[in-house]
Amino acid sequence: MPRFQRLRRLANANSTRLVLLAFAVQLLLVAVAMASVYLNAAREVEDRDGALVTELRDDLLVVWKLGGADEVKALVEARAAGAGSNEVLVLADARGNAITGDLPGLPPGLTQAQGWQLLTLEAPGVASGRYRLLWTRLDTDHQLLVGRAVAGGEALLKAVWQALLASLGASVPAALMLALWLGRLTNMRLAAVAEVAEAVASGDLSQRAGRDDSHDAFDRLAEAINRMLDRIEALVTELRMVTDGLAHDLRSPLTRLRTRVEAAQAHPPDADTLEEMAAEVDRVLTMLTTALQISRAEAGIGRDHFRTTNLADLLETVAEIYGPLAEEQGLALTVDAPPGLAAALHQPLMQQALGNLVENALRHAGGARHIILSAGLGAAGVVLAVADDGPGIAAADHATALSRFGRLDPARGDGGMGLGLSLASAVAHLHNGDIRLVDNQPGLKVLLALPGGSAG
Amino acid sequence: MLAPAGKPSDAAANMTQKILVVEDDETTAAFIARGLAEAGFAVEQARSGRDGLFMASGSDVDAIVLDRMLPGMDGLAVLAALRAAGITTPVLLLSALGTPDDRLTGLEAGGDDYLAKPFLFGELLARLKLLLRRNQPAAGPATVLRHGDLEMDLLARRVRRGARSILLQPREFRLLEYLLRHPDQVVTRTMLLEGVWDYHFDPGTNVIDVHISRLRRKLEEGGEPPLLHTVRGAGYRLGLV
Repeated sequence: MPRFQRLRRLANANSTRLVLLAFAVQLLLVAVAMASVYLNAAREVEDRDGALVTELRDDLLVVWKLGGADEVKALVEARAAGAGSNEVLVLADARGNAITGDLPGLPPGLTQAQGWQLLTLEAPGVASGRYRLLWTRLDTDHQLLVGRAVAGGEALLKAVWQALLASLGASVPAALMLALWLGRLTNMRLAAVAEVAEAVASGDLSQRAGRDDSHDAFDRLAEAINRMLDRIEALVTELRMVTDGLAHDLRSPLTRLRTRVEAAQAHPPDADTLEEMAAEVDRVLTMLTTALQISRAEAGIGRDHFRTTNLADLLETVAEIYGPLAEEQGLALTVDAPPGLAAALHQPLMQQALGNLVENALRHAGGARHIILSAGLGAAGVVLAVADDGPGIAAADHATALSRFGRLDPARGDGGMGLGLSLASAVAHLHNGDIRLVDNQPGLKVLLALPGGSAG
Repeated sequence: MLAPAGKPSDAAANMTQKILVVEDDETTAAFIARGLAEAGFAVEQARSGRDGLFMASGSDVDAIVLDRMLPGMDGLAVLAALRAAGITTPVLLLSALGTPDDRLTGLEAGGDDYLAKPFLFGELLARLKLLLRRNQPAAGPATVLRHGDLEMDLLARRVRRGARSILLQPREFRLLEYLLRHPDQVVTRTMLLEGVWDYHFDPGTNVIDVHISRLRRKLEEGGEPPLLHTVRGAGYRLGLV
């Protein structure tokens, strides 16, 4: 049973089919070539034998005309005595009895008709076998039969046939080997790709399929697989960072909460403690909600809630909400936006993105004096920006800052969630735009470039 | 705390108001029902969307607390069926889906307010009371809002407390206007953000606390009795007591 199954699997395997197909095609081509050689050789032999017989008959006719019956008789006699065994010559009388020649008489079955006749002869004077015969009436008393054994031609054909079979015998293993080699080549190149896939499946995401830059189907397959693996690796890396970051950021508030609960078990907690505990829980919940929102925004969920929004109003609202807090910290929060500029956007999410950027500026731009919220028309659409004149972020760290849970401040333990920029980035993506960090000289300027938008 | 305090504006609401809670989770439903009963409401409960729809359309309910995820019939479907039947009872949607998108979807489906789980009961109560009051016929557009000795002239955009004139920034004026429109009610942080600025992201306690403490400083100068109170774990309340 397993053996049968293995055979079946082998028969079903594409490479096996490919090999068999290649082999069959080769075999067919060889067979066609052989058939053609055989047929041509057969016709050639037949034509040559026929020509010999006709020539002999014509010579005898000439002798008949010049020298009459006696001359012919002498000639036939001489010829029959010394002729090879594959030739038959008979000079017969009116009743068909031989006057002279290789046979005692005209063979039974011979008809008195023009053209070739094929008969089997068995007589003492000739080698028995098939003969091609030509019958001619010379006059009322004389008939002439000239013929030649087919056996000679058939022997030749047999030789050709054998030669062809021999060459076929040689070409079969050759064809088989070629087909196997082709199949092996295909298998080897596919196996290389499969090996990479196996390695990736078992966890080694760094593996890539080899390329030979031939741009054939295998090379393109390898290229496509490599691109897919690049994407998977990026996603997994991002996912790992998110999970690690989330775990890390959740751990701190949960640990603090655990400590407080423990303390509360020993001594009944006062209202302040309970409120602090509630605040910790809120922090965790906010983090989870934000992480969820980032995923949804990155997945493009929410585009059906875009509304045309006046950008100056949008920025004024954010500035109004955060204004007092900024002032308490000694910062001025101002808006710089033309009055008529509008764009279709997801208002709550954009509010949150801008709010996060302002919070980041308030939290991280130590020493800053001024935060400016601005809107303007850029090359491809509207550009919203939050700029501060604090210490800024080094250009080399911009990418880290944008990645979800990216950590620039290792000592971040003040409730900073590190999700603000990621959310802003996700919201920009939701609007088919992107986020850019630029040096505000001094300070950091975060740009949200969104396609579309209109003045007026 | 029993029925809403007997302020003149609450006179019409003094008889017990009935709230229908449609929530399949036993714990949450019991938590809400107990809280509402303590706050002086009559509470009816439904465990599925179908029952909820039946009870909402059959009996005289003043407001509905409707969970979005329900067995049998989804909360939004219940809401759509209610609105299609011409029932305009205010609906407060509860949902575990807390993203801005879900909120918009819920409001577009005909919900009057939206609260993400988990929520503070204070928040639920404050929002529910706001809905019940909104549902009462308004006494015409007011041009002057008063509470105690505090007076706000909406046309002249002037604020006085007793004989003293108070100078407010535009944002403080709008904040106080919202509080004056909901006197003696607990308004939460998120209610303020939504009501005053149409802002739907909760930036945390600090941001609004600064607003309130600045406003409070201007409202309560010298030895004037406190007017703007912080309600622990819930929000803020404008009132003389």
